[in-house]
Amino acid sequence: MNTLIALNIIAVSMIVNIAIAVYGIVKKPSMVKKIISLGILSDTVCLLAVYMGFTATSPHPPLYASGYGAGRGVDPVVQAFVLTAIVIALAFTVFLATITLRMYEVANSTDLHELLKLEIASEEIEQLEE
Amino acid sequence: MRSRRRELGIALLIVAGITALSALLGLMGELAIPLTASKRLLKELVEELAYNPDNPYSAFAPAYVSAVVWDFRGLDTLYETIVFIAATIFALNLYHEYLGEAELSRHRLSVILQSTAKIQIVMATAVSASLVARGHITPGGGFQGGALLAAVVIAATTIYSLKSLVGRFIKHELILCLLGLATLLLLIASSKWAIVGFFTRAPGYILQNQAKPGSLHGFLFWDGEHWVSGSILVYDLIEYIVIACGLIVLLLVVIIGGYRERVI
Repeated sequence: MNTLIALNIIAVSMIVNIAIAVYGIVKKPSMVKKIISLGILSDTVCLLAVYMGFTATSPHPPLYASGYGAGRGVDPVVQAFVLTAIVIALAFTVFLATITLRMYEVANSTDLHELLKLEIASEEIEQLEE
Repeated sequence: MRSRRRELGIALLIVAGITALSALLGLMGELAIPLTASKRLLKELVEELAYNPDNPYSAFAPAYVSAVVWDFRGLDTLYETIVFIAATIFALNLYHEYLGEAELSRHRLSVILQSTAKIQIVMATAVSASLVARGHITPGGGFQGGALLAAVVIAATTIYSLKSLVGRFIKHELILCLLGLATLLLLIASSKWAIVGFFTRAPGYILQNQAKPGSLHGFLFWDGEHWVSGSILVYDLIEYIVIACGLIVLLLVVIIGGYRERVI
């Protein structure tokens, strides 16, 4: 019973986390908040993959030399995929963080709505000049 | 103040909702996301081939995750590491002036913290090195070790001030050199048997760690308990350097960028 409740807390939290992260990515205009939401989303999906690799009958770490032999550990394939996903998410975060910093240096804002207004305003000025 | 209270209220509501729903599902004997109990053929195949002293074509990595990452789908990891190196070099080139910044924070924490941090930094660095050195036989490896080393460096910049470390010990030329060295090591380690095969006219493959049908090259060492693949240790070391450099660059760019925004 306690194991079921603990597993349910993890599972329900993951579903809520994914919903919050998608809301943050779609709805929040700030690039910083979008990056944070993307981080939450990628970490939750990684946790979901590790959760799927867990089986109640074989909850040991995926190692040969643990005294229990082969075949008793959790699924190592999903853990390897998660490792890749974390590295790629990290590279993506580096890229987005540098873009956002540059955006702040150029436009003095990380708010996409404000940047759009600035772009529209600059287009109008160009049209007037023409 | 009101919006802070509203946010706190929403957070508490979410936590209460999650707990109530989990307890309800637990009492009903259900799982929100069911676990699969089916036979996993891929898992069994990995366990059979990752470490099997009786099979000469085994990957000889007792940590199955290391075998998957650096052997079974090693080419994928090779590309992924190169993507990460490229992202780090991109960030470093764009913001290298941050690491040579003259006006950096001189704020340092108390003398007591600075003294205790010296011991903790040595210990945490030793743990990170141990994670890498035993990554092929225990959980851990280059990624975890590199992340820990980066955390140590960033903690040190907070404790001893940015000014005392960045530009003196953490230089962008040093990080570029380390990344270049890691790339060179990666290329040599991944193509060693293909190069040997080219000169000896014997079959050899890219990212070949152990013997393959038709090509008997491989490098094993005895760790006291098992015969273990030596290549995976080298790959873990490379990943350690790459991840540590990447994370240090990312975090320093964000920290120094924030400092410049406030002060300069």
